Amino acid sequence: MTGYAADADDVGDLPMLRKPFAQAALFDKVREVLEGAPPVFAAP
Amino acid sequence: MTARGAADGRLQDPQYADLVAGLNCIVWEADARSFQMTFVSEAAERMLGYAPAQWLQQDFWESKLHPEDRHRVVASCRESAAALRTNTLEYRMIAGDGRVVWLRDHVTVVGEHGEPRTLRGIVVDITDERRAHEERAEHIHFLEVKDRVNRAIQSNQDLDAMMREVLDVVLVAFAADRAWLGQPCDPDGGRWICEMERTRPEYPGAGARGEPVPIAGDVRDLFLAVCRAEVPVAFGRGAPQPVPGFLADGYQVQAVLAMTVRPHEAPPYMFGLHQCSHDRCWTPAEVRLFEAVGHRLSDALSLLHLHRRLRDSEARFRVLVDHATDAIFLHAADGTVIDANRQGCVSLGLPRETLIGMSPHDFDAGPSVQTTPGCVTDRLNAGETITLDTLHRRADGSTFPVEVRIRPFYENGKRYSVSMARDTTERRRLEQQFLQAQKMEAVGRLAGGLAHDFNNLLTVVNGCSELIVARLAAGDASRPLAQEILHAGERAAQLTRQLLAFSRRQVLHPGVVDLDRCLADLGGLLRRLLGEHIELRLDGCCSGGSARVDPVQFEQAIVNLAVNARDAMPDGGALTISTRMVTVGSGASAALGGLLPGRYVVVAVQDGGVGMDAGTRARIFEPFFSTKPAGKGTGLGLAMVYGFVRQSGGHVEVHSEPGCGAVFELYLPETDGEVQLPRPQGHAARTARGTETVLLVEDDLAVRSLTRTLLAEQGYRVLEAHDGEDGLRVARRHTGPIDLLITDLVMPHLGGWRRCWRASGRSCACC
Repeated sequence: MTGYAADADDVGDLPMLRKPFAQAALFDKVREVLEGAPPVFAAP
Repeated sequence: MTARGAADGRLQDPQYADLVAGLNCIVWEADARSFQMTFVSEAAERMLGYAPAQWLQQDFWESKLHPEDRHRVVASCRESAAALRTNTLEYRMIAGDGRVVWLRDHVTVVGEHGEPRTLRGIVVDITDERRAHEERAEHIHFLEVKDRVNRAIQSNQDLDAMMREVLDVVLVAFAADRAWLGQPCDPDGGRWICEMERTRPEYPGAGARGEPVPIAGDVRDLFLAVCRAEVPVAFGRGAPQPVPGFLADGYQVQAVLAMTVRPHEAPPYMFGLHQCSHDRCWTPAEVRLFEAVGHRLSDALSLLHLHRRLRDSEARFRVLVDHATDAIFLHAADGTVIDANRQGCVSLGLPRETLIGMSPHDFDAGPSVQTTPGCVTDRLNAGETITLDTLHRRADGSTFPVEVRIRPFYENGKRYSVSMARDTTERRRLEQQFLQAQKMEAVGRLAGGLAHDFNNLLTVVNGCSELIVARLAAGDASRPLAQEILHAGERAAQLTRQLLAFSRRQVLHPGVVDLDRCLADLGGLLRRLLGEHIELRLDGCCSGGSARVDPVQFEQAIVNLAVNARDAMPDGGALTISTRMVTVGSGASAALGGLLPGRYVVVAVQDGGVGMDAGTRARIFEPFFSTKPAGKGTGLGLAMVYGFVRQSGGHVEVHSEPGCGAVFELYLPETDGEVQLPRPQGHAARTARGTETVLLVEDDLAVRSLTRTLLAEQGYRVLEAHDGEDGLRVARRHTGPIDLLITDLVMPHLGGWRRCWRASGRSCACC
C-alpha cells in the first residue's frame, strides 16, 4: 500500500468528495473550491 | 633406733623390736593425758622425716599436724581417751621436707581403774589413697557438672533460656557469687553489656543493675588478657593479675575467672565467674572444669546461632515464597503435596493443612492430566521439566486455567518436584482480545479494499444512471428502471461507507467537537428515530469535554447505536446517553484496548433491552454480524462505530448481560482546542457552469472518464492524468493556468501531490 494516501492525517482540511458522488455534489464542490482561492498552478 | 619412754617391757626384746621397726607403719605410745609420746617406731622417720627422738619432745606431734586438721584431731583424741574408746582418725601432717602427708591413725586407749593411762596407735600413710580418692571425686564432680550443663543446653532451644539455665548450673557447681555471659568480647568495644547473669541475691551484678560496663582502664586490661588467652584467666589472689579496681569497688569482686567463648560465625562472648564473698584462689581442677563448660557453651551457642540463622533464613524464604503471585507447590515423588505457598492456598480456596497431603489429581481438572496421570510422573522421573496448560479446581468447584511448570529435584536421594502454577485467566482474555483485534484488522483491510473498489464502480454506475435519468423524458418507460438502478447504487454506497468506517480507512474530517452540545443537537433526530415508545434521556450529557472527532461520523455512530437500542427494546423503554470525563492510567490501558494514557470523554449509550450473552458480545463489531432477522440489519452499524472510534484514537467498551440491557461506552480522546463550527455548505447552484481548467487525477479509467464528461458538459476544461506522476507531467506540459486539482486519494505515486494540495486552496480530494 506504499504510496497510497488513505487516512485523515494525509488529508487534513482538504475539501472532500466521497465516492460515489452525485453530479450535483461534484459541481457544488468544484465551485466551492474555486471561489476565492488562488489557482493550483499559475500560468508560466 | 627406737624411742623408749615408760613403755612396755616387750619392746626391750630385740626380736620384737626388729619386728616393730620393720613394719611399714608407725607404732607409737603416748601418755593419755598429756599426749606426750613415750615410744615411736623407726617408721616415723621413714614416713615423715623426723627422727624418733624428735617425736618424744613435748607437743611435737601436735605441732606437726596440718593447721586445718589440728583442732579436729586433738579434740577427737581427747574425747576418745576420756571415753576409753578406740578411735580411727585420718589427718594430715607436715613432713620434714614440707610435704603434706595423709595418715590414718588407729588409736587404742589403755586405762587403769577407769581412767585413761596410755594411748597406743598404729599410723599408716594413706596419701596415695587419699589422692586417688580426691581425684576420683574431682572427676565425678567434673562429669556431673558437665552432664548438668549438657542437659541444660539440650533442654532449651531458646538462646536466653539456655544461657540462663547453664549459668544457674555453673553458679552452683562453682559455689560462685556471679556467673555471667555478655558481649562484645572486645577490648576496643567501648562498653560491655551483660546479656545474661545469674547471681546470689546479695551480689547483683551489671546485668541485674541493667547498666553497661565501660571497657576502660583496668577493665580493658582484663579484656585484653582474656581475649588474648586461649584458656581461662584468673584474677585475684594467687593469680598474676589483680581484680580490676572498677570491679572490686563497684561490684565487691574479690576473684574473677573469665574466658572467651567463641561460637562459629557469631561474635565472641565473655564468660566468667565472680567471687565476692571471700578471697578465692581458683584451683586447677576448677579452671579445667570452667574451661570445659566454656567450650561446651561455645558449641551450644554455635548451634543456637545456626538455628537462629536457619530460622531467620527460612522465615525470609517463606516471605519470599508467600509473596509470589504464582501458586507454588512442593510434591513428594508420588505427587502428594507436602507444602504450598500462600497463593497456592488462596487460588484453590483451601487452608494449607488441607492442601498438604492432597494429590494433584484432587485439584487438577485438566483433561490430559486426569486421563494420563502416569505420564507426568514418568517424565519427572526422567529428569524432565514439564510445562502444561491445565485447569485447577477451587474448593467451591469452579475452575480456572493455569500454566503449570513442574521441575523435579533430588534431596537425600529422594525425588521431589516443585510446581508453579500461574493463573492464565487474564492472559487468555488478553490473547482472545488480541486475536479478536487481529481478526477485525484483517477483516477491516479486506472490507476497506473492497469498499474502495466498489466505490469506484458505484461512482460510474450511479453517475451514469444520473445521466440516463437526466436524459430520458419524463414519460419514458425506461426512466423508472434507471431510477431503480440509481437508488440501488445509492444504497450500495451507504454500505460501502459503513465498510470504510469499520476498516478505519474512512477519510475523516476531524474537528474539535463539543460532544455534549453535539448530542443535544442530535436529540431531535434521535427522538424521531426511536419513536414514541422509547424515552430518550440526555440529562447526563454534562461532561463539558470536547474531543477531536469527525462530527458527521460521530453523529452517525450515535445514530447507529440508537437504532440498535431501539431494535433491542421492541416493547419500549429508555435510551440514556450520558458523558463523563475519565483519566486512563497506564495500568488500565491494557484492559481498554491499549488506549494511550490520558484524559478521555466517555459517551455512554445505555438501553434496557434484551442484552447480549458473551458469545454475542465477542462478535458484535464484526462486519456483517447481526442478531437481527434477515433483511433487518446489514451488520455494519456497530462495525462502523468500532472503526470510527478506533480511527479517532479511542476505544469502545461493551457491558451487557442477557435480559439486562447493554451499555456502549465510547472513549474519545479529550482535547482542549477551540470548538469548530460546522463548515458552511457550498453556495454553487446545481447548474452553475464554469470555464476554469481542472486537472483530474484518477487511476480508475471509468471514473475518470465519467468525471471528465460531467465537468466538460459544465464548461470546464479538463486535463486528465492516471496517477500522481502523470499528473505532474501533464501540469508541466500545460502552458496555461490550472485552476483546480481533483485527485483520487487512494492511488499510487501520490507522494509529491501532498505538498501541492496542502499548499493550495484549490485542491479537492476524492475517495
